[in-house]
Amino acid sequence: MTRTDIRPAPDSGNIMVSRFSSGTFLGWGGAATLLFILAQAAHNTQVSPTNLITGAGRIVDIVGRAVPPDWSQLPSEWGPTRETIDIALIGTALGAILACPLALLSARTLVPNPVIRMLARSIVALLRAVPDLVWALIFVTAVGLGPFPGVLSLILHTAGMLGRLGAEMIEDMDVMPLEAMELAGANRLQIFIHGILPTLMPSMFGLILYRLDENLRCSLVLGFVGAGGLGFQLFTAISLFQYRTASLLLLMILVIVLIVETSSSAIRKRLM
Amino acid sequence: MSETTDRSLLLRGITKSYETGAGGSKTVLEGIDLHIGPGELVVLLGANGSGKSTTLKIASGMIAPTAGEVQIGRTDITQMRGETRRQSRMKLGMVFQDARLIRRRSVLSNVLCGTLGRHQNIATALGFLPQSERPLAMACLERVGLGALAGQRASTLSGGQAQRVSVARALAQKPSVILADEPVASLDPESAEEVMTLLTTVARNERLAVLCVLHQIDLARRHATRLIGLKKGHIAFDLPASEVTDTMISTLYTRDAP
Repeated sequence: MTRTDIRPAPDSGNIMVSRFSSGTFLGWGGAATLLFILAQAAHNTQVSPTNLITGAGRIVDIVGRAVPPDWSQLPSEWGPTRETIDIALIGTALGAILACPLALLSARTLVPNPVIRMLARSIVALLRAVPDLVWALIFVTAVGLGPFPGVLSLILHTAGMLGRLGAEMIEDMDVMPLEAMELAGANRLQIFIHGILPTLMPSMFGLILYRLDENLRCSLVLGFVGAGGLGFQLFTAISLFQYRTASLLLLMILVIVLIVETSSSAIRKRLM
Repeated sequence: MSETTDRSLLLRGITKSYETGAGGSKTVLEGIDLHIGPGELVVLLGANGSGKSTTLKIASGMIAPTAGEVQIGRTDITQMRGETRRQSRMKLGMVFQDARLIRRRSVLSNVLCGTLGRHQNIATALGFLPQSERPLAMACLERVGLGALAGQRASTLSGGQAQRVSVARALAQKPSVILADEPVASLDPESAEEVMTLLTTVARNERLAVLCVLHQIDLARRHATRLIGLKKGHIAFDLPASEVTDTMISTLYTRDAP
């Protein structure tokens, strides 16, 4: 058996030392910079462990006043619960419908005309860039308090998100089977209906379910700015110091979110 | 040379040049004449860059030749545009290196997709596949030995099975000519043999003209009725498979001294 000489080359030690030195210097320099950035962010946002420790007592006090939940309010909260779920459902459904043409027109593989594509992409970018909470504030001002402004804001934000993700999905899809269909004599509409849709639908449906999941949480927050549902009830309960009602609402929210999350994830798994 | 019938492919004087910038151009095919008659399976051989794929793309209408004409049967398809071009494409069944199936659809639906060109109507635009073509699609699947898998999703097929489905899809087009671009390149030897046997049988039994690009010399020798050797965009030989010698083939793959 031959022995392998594993001694380092005569000058390899120097190379190792110089690499180690520059790497270490960069590492420490990077760490120090990151620390500095984080420290200034903490300072600007008034992060204070002292305040947290002082406030802990008040948090314990609020939690103490919030238990047990006020179960007697349960029957009267079914209406807002249904409203929250309905806001998420209709907002997601109409948002998904609006997203379809936007996704198709934004995809480079389907729309060779750069002007149309850029126009569609700009609309998608605007819808995504404005947070749903801001849309809700605008619509509350425009159409008044209630679930409708919540629905409108979810439609626009969902259309923006699904429009972007849908366009990316179309651009990433394998175009070779579509080319084969074209060469076999299928026209553009047939290629879209029989080739593109069957390929995209399961993934798109999965995305819509994921969005429904997100929209349910969003619809709760939207309630805080007057867009109805459980969020509005929670905001009112906290404002009126009705902590036992607030804890009941939080429990209901937790249950709804868990049910929707579990079922949408199960459906998505079956689809994929 | 076989006579020109509806089920034949003729390439006459095909030349293809690309602009290379600064007013220059590069000729990749020059004066290609070939004719494939019904029942013939002709294999194009040649090194990379010899012009095999360009020949096939020109024959399929995917790219236009700089000069020359392509005839399917007695119809010149070179100058066709729009609807007539689409109609003429239906006479050409394509089999690619990868099967190019819609993976989420069933095997039968994929074969039915090959018939869409004949059914440009509201029903197919609404997502219905032409049900009147079901018996034909099933017959095509039976012909490639996969009738039992009609309801199975295409994504569950092996490479060899998928390629046979793509042959069935091409047959469902009712083509005059089948063009196969390296149809066995990604298959194991057993599946490759199966697919080539299938193409040979299809050419013989359906009386179709089949033009196939292959890199596997032994498969080409076993299955082709004629071998065409391409070198640097010119036809080096066009002979019955039994008359092609090893020396002729090796000259296709040897680089000339600079």
